[in-house]
Amino acid sequence: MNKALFALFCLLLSWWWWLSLERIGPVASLTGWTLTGCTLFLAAYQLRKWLSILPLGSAQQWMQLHVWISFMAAFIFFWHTGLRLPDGLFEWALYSCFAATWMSGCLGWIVTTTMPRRLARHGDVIIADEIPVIRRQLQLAADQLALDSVSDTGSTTLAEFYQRRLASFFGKQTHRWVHLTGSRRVHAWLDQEFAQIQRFMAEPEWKNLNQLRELAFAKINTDVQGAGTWLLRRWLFVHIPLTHALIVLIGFHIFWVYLFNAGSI
Amino acid sequence: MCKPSMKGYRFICTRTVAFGGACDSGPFPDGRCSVHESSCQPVRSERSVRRQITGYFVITVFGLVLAGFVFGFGRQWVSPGRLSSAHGFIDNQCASCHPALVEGFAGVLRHAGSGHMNDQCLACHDRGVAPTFAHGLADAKGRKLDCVQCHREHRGSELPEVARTACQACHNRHVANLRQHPEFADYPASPRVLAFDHSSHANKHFPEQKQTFTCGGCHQVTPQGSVTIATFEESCRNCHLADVRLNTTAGEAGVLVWAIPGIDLETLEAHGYFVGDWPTFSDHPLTPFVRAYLPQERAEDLAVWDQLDVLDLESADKQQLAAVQRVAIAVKVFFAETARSGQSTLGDEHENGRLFAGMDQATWTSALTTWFPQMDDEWALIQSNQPLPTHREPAPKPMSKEKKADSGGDDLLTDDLLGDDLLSGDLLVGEVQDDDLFGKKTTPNENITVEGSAWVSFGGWYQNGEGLYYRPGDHPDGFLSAWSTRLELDVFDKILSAGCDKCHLPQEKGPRFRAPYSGGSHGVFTVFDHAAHVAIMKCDACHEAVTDRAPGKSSFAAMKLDSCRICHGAQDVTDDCMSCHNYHVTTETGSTGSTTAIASPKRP
Repeated sequence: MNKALFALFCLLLSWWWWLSLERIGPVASLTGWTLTGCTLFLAAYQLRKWLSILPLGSAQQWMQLHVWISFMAAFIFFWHTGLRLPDGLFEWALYSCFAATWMSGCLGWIVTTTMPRRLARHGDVIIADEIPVIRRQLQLAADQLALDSVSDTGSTTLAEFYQRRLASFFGKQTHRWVHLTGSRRVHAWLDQEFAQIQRFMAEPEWKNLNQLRELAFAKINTDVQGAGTWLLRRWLFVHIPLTHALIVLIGFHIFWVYLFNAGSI
Repeated sequence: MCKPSMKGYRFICTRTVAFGGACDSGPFPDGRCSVHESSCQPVRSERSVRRQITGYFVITVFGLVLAGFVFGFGRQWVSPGRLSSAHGFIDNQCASCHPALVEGFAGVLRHAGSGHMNDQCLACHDRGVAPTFAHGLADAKGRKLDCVQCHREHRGSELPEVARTACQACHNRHVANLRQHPEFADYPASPRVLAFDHSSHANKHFPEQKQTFTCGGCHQVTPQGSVTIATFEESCRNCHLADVRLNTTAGEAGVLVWAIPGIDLETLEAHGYFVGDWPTFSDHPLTPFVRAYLPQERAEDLAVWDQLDVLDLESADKQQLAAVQRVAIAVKVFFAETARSGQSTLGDEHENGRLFAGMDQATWTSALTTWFPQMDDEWALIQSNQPLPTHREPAPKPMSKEKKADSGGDDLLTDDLLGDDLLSGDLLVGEVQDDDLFGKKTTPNENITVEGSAWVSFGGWYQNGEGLYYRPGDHPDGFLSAWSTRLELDVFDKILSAGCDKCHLPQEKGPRFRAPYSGGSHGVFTVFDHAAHVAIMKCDACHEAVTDRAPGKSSFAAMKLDSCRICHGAQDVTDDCMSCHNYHVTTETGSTGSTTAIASPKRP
């Protein structure tokens, strides 16, 4: 199916190329309209969901076509602009909006293709909607462990350590950007914290300390999953508004161009 | 809702049974309800938030852009790009080219599609009478183009070059580069002006004259890149002047222009159709010149004349004889009127000045006196519409020595010449005496008499027998040049065979010969800078002379595109269409020059 799709795509590209050769004068209007068509098609990516009753192909095929056409759109964009920077503010807005939309799309494409594998490599994959629940469970378990350590060992060292150093860590999603970069800085920080406090504890307290360590590292995995899931969802908060704004700007651009097109005024 | 009330010194729960009754724990000591019920706080889904953000963003962008167009109208907001330096004088006066902008944004909307842009371009750039047609040619299949379809402004200081694809839109052979360009075919198989045989001149004629044949001997490259050709005076005269003067022509050296046509006078008069004096020795046809100057009302008679053998009218009926008589009298009248009134009889100066400027009165009147010695008497009869008398044989013109020798005198003793009229004193005109007829010395200046054609060896008019001849003098000859553009082409056969078409190419339509060489090196569709090329290569690298030139064809072999491809398209030398071809083929005044077409201007 993908081969057929690719063949169709190449056929359309060839036809378009032939059209560009048949034109007199600059191909700005051809490239412009093609770019408009590409943008509208790309913006209609959600149509497959809305028209799920129609056999419009799988999401993977749509995504594939979406990526191909977006790369073609970038090529046509540079052809259309002639690699020139714009002059007026409106042209700058249009130029920037296209660039931002395209780059956000590229980022999203990279994220959607790489992040799931990264998350799976890091630890247990958690469904996005369960992350707050698991995080709360870990927090409660840590709270209880800290309280129990006082009654079990008669020492408040672990409870005070938890209260001072880990309570806020268990209370919310932390280190999102650190996890998105793939850094293991948080792991190192926790290792260091637990190693330091262990020196001030008697051996009977180590059992609770180890349990708390396991909860802390489980919380790290939850944060990593949360950060990845956040990015997988939130890049669309940039890409989609930019796409719609781009369509608006393109509409103005076409209106303006055709006012002056071929010396119409 | 729970509202604890104080009973004594304690607060008690007052929740009704309908809501579950009083709670077990009861209110706090300060009267607050101990049962905390968190209220439901719905949270937007991510999709909803995203839509909300998208909506706000789009509305904001739309509003800002619209405001920018409406309130911030100007080049700061919408800039089409900088003008080229060629149009830099326009500066920021957008309305110079976009007049609708005078009325602002509203004007733009109101005049959208009015299409005044071409008018603005053509106000300064004169591109002829059909500027918007393809190539500026009104007959270019009716296809119209706007200036801006090829010429893009607002692209910075330099006007962008016209893209190759602009040409290919019509000439869709898809000539992406010179390697895909069609061959020149047989170019230059047909010489444009002269049928000059380069090979024979280089290999035969010049060596015979012990001269060196070089391209530069006749051609010079101008700084503008065109090639000039030396004039006849500069290059050809030394060898070809004799051809021009028809020295090499067999028979009569001059061209018969005016002549008394020969007619069967005996038969004509036997049937009572008299034409007065008429040279019975003439056997000339009615020359095209004489025919051209006969009155229009003789057209039918001329048609009859053409159907007859006017030298033998025995089988002609009376009507035909009458037509022949009328034509003969018309010829006589033409000659007589011209003798009396001069060159003005031959038409206006504009048309005939170059033809007859050299025709002198003495030659004409002398001829007329010889042919029609009684013309004065006959003229009176013609004017009064009275019939002409029978002809009286005029004395023949003095014969040349050669003719006398050839005849041996016997021919002069024939009955015709010994008729009564011949011996009458009336026919002894001028210096001619009776003794002429018997081969004796007839004129006082006989020793200096030469043939008329020999006498005008530098060119001019002369009489011989019953005809007036013209002998070309130099090149270009005014009479021949004018004649070639006016009269029937077939009368040129003699001249052509004498040598004109050795160099000049005849053409079927329009003037007999092609237009004089303009000195250009290319047609209006093509551009070729000879100056740039001869600096690095020899002429014969492209122009290879051939020895077996076909008649009417170029003496050069067809050019090969490979000779161009050595550099163009390789070695960083451009091979764009516009480097060899012009788009605008009309001149500033709108006239079109020669039309050396691009290899195939038709859409294949």
